[in-house]
Amino acid sequence: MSKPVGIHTRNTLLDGVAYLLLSLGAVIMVLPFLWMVATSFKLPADQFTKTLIPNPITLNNFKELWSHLPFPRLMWNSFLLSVLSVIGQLLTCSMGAFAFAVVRFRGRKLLFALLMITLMIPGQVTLIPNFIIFKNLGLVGTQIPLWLPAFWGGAFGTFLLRQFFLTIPNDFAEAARVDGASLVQIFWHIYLPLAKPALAALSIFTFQWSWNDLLHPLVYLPTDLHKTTLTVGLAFFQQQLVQGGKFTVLMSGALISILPLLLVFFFAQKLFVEGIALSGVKR
Amino acid sequence: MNRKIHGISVYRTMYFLPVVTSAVAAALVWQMIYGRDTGLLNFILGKFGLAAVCWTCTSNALTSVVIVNIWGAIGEGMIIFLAGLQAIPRDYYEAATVDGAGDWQRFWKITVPLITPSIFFQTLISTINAFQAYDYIYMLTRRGQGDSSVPVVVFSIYRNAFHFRRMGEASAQAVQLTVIVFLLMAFYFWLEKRYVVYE
Repeated sequence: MSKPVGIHTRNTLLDGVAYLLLSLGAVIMVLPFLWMVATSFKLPADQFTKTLIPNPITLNNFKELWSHLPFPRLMWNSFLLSVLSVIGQLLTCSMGAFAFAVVRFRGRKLLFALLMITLMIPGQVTLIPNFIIFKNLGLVGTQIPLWLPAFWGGAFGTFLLRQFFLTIPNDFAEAARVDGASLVQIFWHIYLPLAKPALAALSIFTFQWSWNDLLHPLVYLPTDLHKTTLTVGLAFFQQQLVQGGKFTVLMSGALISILPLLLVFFFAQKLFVEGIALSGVKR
Repeated sequence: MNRKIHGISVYRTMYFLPVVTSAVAAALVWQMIYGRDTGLLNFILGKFGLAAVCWTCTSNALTSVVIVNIWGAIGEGMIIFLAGLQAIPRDYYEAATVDGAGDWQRFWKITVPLITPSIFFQTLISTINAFQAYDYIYMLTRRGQGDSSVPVVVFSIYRNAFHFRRMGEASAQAVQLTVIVFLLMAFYFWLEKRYVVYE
């Protein structure tokens, strides 16, 4: 009888230590966000005061933001490019994943291995050839290079969805086959509806990458504030405002730029987590 | 993080927040935190009687960028390991306890071997991400002439290609980068064959 008691007391002590370490870590993780929120409501004169609750609280920074940047325009651009990328990835990755997971054809393993290899090439490596292609097509300076590649499929999305498709029992497809269903029907009526969680996870990831992307808009639309994205706008703004000493306005811009994704995250936290776990564990 | 403690989901959310935040927005705050005379970090150090540090000067810039990178990526690693830990059946631990294994033994003989796939995957992903590191470096350390105080490969590729318009040189660097990454990957997969346990 003494042993369970012993384990119990030791666990309480361990829990205490775990709480302490976790809390300390959590403070470090969250402090930058609190600081962003606090600064964005401070008067420019108070921008470096070390208090978490602004006194007085002002909304002027958010108003001033509009006078420096075409902010709604930048938001809209980021949103539009992200949504187009999501559509492209959902469409092409799901079809590719279906082919790799369900359809039997010659060279399937080899093609899949080739696709996985592209997953390991840093994206920046293909940046220059892509840039030259788009330049020769006369598309540099337009938004097209920022969403069109999403329609060429992608290694990550195909991999993620294939992993999910593989968990769907083969019997479903075979039963449908016996009933005379075509591959397209099997894909559309059986696999896509069952893969909703994975499709949702891929949508969230794609949206997040596109929304947060800095390098590609920087390459294709560096100076055109009416066509470019929020990230480039903020980076541009950074140079201007840091010299002008207006961190408060900068922070309000940063805050607005992360709000949409934070909202999605709070409502779809489970999907985020399951999506990452799905790509990492099942093989 | 895998322990059953009260309010653990709140902690998980907090650790995951930076993962959904754009590097641009995060870097803007970190710039404030790292400020030499006005920054939050030096203020806190000062409270403990420590001297102010110039966080974004050339000598410290690399460390500062690495700190922000870790801060931004910790949540994703947490999820990968969490999924790996939760996939280990409880029975294994119970059986080991019945056989008289202590905490230490259970950790080394059950947890560590069964979590090697997660360790492998996370190492792979972190390496690829590290070679791609760009956003924080651009935002925190860029200087005039497209230069940076932390000139990593990708930054140099970008600078050569789009600042100096030396596409050939940039492409050559990109090819070298690919070769290095592939050699590293080959090494990881060799390690995987030897050490990673799949059930």
